[in-house]
Amino acid sequence: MYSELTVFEKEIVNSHIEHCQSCAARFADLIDQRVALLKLGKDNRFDLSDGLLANRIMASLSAKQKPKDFISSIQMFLFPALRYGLAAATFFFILIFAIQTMNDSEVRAGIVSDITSGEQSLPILNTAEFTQSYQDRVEMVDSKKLIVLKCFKLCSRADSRVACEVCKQIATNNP
Amino acid sequence: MNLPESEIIEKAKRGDTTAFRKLVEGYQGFAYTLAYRMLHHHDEVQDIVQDAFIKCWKALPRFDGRIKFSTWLYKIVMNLCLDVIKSARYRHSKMASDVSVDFNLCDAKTSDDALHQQEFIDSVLKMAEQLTPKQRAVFILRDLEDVDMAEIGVILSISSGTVKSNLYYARKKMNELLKGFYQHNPLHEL
Repeated sequence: MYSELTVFEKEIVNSHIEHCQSCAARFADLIDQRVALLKLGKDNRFDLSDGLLANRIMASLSAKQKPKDFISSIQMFLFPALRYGLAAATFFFILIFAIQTMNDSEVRAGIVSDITSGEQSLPILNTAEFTQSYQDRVEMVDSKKLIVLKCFKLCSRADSRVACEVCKQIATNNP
Repeated sequence: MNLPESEIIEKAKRGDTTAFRKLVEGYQGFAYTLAYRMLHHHDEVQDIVQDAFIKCWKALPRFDGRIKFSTWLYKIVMNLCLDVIKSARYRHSKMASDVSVDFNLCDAKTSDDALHQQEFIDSVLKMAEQLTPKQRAVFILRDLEDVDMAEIGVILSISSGTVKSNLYYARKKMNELLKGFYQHNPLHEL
């Protein structure tokens, strides 16, 4: 039990039990208890030398080993740090996407409301000028008809043949 | 032919099941004894020890040798035992003391000695069930298994101060319970 105490603590205990009989008796009692329990613990260990439990463990290990090879290789790859990294990256991308979507819809809603309230005037261009200005975004079907290929920066929907309402308005107002 | 333990561990880390079996054979007694002292039920303990060695096999490639293999294994066994103790299943179905005859006790000079000692240690383990799981763990590791204080901290992932305080309360409680036990069973007085 002395081994559990620091040098300073040992000095305090020793100097105290020198003069205090009840603590000295209690300390001796605890030492007796510890010695008796240690002996009991040492003398009563289980002897498993028959190998039955080892056989059971090894059998269960080999049964589990094969089908789990692929899973365990993935588990090895997905160390905790990497797992947390992946989770953080996923969260980050979802956040960016949400902000982007929110911004787009806010900008679009703002412009639509500006146009509706007449605060923003739509650009009036002739067809040739319009097509030239927005050649990457519109396609001339014939001399009068335009198809919006990409929406204008109002909604930034690339590769969509369905333009947003504002863009459609711009396109139809500028044949 | 007798390889040092570090070499056996290295072989097992590379997937050598024969080397791992040597580790199992070397440590199963310690693992079993510790789990039995924590749970006091043979059937439960066999499952725990099996699970512990399977976990050990899976995690072995990550074992870096910074702590002793025995400490690492104790930590796995102890965590599994504490999980079982905390489970509702264990609390509700805490079985009557199970004195199985499937396992032999070491160093028993006569059958009377063995019976006497087994009876006494079963009583001590029964008393230890009255401690909190952490106190029980610290008490068993320190006073029955004689594990170093610092090692107990590593096994239970607690500070040395927490080890000391848990040990203090555990010993105090066990001292009271043992005194009561000796009064009723004077033959067991040591």
